[in-house]
Amino acid sequence: MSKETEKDIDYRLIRAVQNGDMVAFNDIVDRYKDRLMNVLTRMLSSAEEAEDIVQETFVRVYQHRQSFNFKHCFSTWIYTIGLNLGRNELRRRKKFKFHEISDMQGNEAELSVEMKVPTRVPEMLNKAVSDLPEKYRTAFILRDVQELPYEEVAKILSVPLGTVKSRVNRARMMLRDKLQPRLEEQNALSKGTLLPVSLL
Amino acid sequence: MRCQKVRSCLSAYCNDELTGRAARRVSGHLTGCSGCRAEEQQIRSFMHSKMELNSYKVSEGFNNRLLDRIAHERFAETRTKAYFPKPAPSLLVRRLVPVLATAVLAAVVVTTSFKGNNNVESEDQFATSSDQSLNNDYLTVQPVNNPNLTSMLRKGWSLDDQLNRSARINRISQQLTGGYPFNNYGQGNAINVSTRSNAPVPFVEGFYRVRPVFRVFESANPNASKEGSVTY
Repeated sequence: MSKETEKDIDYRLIRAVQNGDMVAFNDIVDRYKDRLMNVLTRMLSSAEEAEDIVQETFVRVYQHRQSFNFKHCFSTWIYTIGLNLGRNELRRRKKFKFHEISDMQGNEAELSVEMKVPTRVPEMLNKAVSDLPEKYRTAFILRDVQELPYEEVAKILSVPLGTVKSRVNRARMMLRDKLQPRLEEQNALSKGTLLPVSLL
Repeated sequence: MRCQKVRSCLSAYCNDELTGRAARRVSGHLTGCSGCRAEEQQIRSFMHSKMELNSYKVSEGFNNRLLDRIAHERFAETRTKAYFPKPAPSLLVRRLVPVLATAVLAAVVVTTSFKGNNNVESEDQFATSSDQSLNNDYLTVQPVNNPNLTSMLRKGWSLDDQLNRSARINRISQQLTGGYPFNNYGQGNAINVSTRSNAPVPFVEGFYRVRPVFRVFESANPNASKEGSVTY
């Protein structure tokens, strides 16, 4: 007997959900909640909002469970729903600008902590990813963070395969350019080269 | 292969996304080009640092909160919708709906028009065939072709009263016209009695005005079915 693939597991679970099995729905939630959270947090740069969107995504999946088309991957469907909701949220943000209460109070000490430039590579990378333009950021996250195949990313984003490849490549180049000084510094440190004090 | 071309596909090469001839050409170029090799090193270190990206996770109790919300959704669904959702109509049915609607409408129009004709006939039959069984209480005198005369009807009058009134009017008109029935519905135009050459004029010329008034149902009283005229 051949091993059940990820796709087959998804199909089995969603079919059970369509027949009213809530345990199967819980399994789907367990399989996808962190993946969606990872994508949406990077997309929205806010964990709380991302969690709300993840919850909304699962509610939509449940509401429209009967309309799932088995010709497509379940993962494509759920990522598409999540990303569309994330885009709506970004559009809403553009429309209404939100201000934190701490910003209004003018607490300089807190602000200085907030504005501190990240120095560690993971932090720098997170910051660089969040600074990418949205279309490059989404393609990069789906391909390089979630490690989805290019074909699936193209389906999720509804763009041609070549466009996805070019966006991912451009995003990588942008990130590399931003991180280059720090990476060179790390390489030099690992090789034991002497560096000026200002870089340490 | 030129350096510019190699550098454009270096990230794909480092991610093992290049295959076959393209991958061989890039690796061949890298062995002889130190600049591109340095670039490749940078990309590989970036790829390595990419692995250190934080992975975000949902907070504790996410599943419970979600399932609570789903339970509310299910409750609302059962309250507002049928348990078994109605299937969407097929394409064929959707296309047939306007055709069927038109056909039904046409059938209704044809049926009602036939029914209307039948009713008229049956009413006529009723009026002519069942003279004897007519109940006077349900009969009334109607003005003919002259809505202005509606005011002359008396609602409280019985049929006999109205027939008597019509007989009286007929009698007066016959006196006026010398027994000639009026065929001229003057539509409000005054007819001077004296202008009728054949009619005897027992009254002073120009004093009377003659107007058609009404007629009663023939079936109710054939004797009283004369067209009347009134003069004052």
